[in-house]
Amino acid sequence: MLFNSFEFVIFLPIVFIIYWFVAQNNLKLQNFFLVLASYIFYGWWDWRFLSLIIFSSSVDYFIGLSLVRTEDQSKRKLLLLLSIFINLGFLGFFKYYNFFVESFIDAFTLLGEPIKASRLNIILPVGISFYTFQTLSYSIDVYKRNLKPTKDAISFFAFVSFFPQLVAGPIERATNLLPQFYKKRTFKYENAIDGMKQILWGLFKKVVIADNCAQFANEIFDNYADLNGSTLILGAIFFTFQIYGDFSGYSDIAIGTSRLFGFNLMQNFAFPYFSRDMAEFWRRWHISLSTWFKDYVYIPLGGSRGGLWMKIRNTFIIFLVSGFWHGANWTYIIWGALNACYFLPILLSKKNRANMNTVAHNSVFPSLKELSQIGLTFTLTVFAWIFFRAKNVGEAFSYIKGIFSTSNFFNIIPISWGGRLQSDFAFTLLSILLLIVIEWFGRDTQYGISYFSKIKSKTLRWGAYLLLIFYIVTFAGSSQDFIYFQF
Amino acid sequence: MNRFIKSFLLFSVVLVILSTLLDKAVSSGLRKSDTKLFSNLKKASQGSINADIIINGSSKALVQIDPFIIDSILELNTYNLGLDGSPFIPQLAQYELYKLRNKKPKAIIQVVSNATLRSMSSGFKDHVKFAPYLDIPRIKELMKLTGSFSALDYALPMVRYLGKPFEIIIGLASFCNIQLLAEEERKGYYPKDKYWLEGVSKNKSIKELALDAKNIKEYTVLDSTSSKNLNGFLDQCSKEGIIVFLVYPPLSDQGFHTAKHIPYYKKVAADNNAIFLNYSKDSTISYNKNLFYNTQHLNKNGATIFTTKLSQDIKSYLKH
Repeated sequence: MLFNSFEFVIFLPIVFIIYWFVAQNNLKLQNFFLVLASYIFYGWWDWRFLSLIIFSSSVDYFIGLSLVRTEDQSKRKLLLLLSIFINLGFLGFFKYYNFFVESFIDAFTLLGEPIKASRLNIILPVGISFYTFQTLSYSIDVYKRNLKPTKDAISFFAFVSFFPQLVAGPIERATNLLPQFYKKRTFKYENAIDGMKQILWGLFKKVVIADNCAQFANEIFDNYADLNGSTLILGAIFFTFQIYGDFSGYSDIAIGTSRLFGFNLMQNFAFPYFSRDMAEFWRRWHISLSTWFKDYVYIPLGGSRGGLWMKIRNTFIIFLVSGFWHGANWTYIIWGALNACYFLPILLSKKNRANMNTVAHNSVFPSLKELSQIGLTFTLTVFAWIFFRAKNVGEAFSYIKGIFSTSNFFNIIPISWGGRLQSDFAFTLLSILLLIVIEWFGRDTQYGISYFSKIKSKTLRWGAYLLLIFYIVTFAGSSQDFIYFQF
Repeated sequence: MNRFIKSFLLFSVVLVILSTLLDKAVSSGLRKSDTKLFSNLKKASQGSINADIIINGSSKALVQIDPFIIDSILELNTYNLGLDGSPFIPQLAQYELYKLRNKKPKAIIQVVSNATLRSMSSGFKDHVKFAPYLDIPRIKELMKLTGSFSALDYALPMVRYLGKPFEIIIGLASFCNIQLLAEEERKGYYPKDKYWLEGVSKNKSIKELALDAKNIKEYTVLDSTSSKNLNGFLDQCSKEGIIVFLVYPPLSDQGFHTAKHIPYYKKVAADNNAIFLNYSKDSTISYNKNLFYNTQHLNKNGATIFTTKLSQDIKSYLKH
């Protein structure tokens, strides 16, 4: 079920009403209902893959219980390895099997020993990378004794399958989300209103920004060979905003929806395109995944504590793994490597914590220095996204080569775009500008329009929300799937 | 919780009221708009066409039949209601709208082709042009057959204009009596003054060509609802004493293989007192590539030659 679908518009109020009015006085019933609602939400896409979530949840639930029953370190380690093996095994099979088969075929062919191996027609279960990492975090935290294992199976199953963030995050840690299922939730007006506003902002980012940018990013990336350099730059910029609108929009809707049910999820995006360097960017982009890798991969490997070689090694490992997490394609791995190359000089010069506060703190506009830093970081990010978006590495390099082609460079809008596409183009640029302006003024808050609540006049405040709704209605792009569903 | 529900309901009420008002303003504006997309429907709904001969059809009517030539030869008032990219049911809807406020025509030139009676599963082009008229029962009934509008489009204000900034802006401007992109009077005729582009399909891969063939096949399957409506339309015209010419326009010789359903049209015409005129393989037009801009459509020169010929043929029938 998509957040921006008619089904969800029906589903959400029904779940909300039953949750707060029917099951309010019984915590177990509330949690059980959330599991049920979450399974319906997920099963709407393909009910067969519910078995995977149930199995994955069961494995980690029982491993958690077993971990607490034994003090034998080797047994504990074995149990953790079992959890990792099963969870990553599923992920590996569904997501990476064909990639490895193809890579082996290519490698052997390159060595002059062509081999035959069959690909499998595998459907990638939606959200597998997200819930697998979430449930893994539980086992690892229990193993590390950072968290007591739960005996409450319903709470645990609800934690793994919690529908607002099930298919595209934020990837919640068991230490944050699981305890919220143990406590009775009380309805808070302010939280619910704030949740509604965050949903509205998420819808704007998804429906207006991402879906409109997608039209042009797809058009340009699909026909890059026939287009000139300036149009290709524009295509990469459109994709940059598409992926931000799509993913952060989803996260906003997820966080807002959770607040309606009395839950607090972690912030997943903190205005990353206003970052002044790549270290800041990675503190602000897909925070739940970055911190997951930091806590469960980077720090156990030694983090940045070791010598030069260890720093380089760990940085590359974390970025390559992060790239590979996104998908079974060399393009993602190169995207990860490129980001490691961006990040490493900052780390080695010990400037990775140079920009910890919000940009232009206590002032309306950024300084010239800050503006140039933002511009440089944004340019590097746009360049990296080309690899992320391209179908394969060859296409990415051809695309980049096309950018540097000088023929007809300044003819930005292709002749083939008719009048309607040209007007859509202008509307999309207008919407991007609106996004930047609103988010700039909200950069100190949790999400773009959070500061609208500071408007004292109720009429003006409501007017602002209504205007935003009408803007969404007017400028909605043609509906596209969420990009991160494929991850 | 009570406070939340109260606020939510109040906000929803305000939203619905404002959306309804906005919907009314946009719809009312679009009904008055002279923009190309809406001008024919505007004239039809306002009763300002009142033609003796109506030309009905898809782009094959829109770009190929010149009402001014027919007028000069037959000394009648002709109007072209061609709807680009539309099969029969939307064409019928537009004609039904015409009938509400305009005088009954003496004759209708109904252009037919391989896709006239196609399935409506993929909707039709620019269906939003009918959005301002969904409150008219007959239009609503026919639009439901096309599946181009969802249940929410009919039920909730502004949903039918979701993601249509161009239409919303045009509609609001027109509501305020500001005509944006207004079209000059051309009796609904939009000829294409261009020539055949060589090698358009040369770069297509085998896979793409196979997909094209598959699309053509699906695109030209006879749909029972559409053919039922065509029969009903012809029968009604016959009862009303309107002469209907079912016209299959010329194809380029390279497009002969795309001619479909000719025996069917012949039979339907015979069954309903209509006249079937088949120009699909016209000996003077089809073999002259200079008269086409692709296999399916005549350019301006071709349209002039074809319309002259059609007018002469019609003249003899109208005399009787």
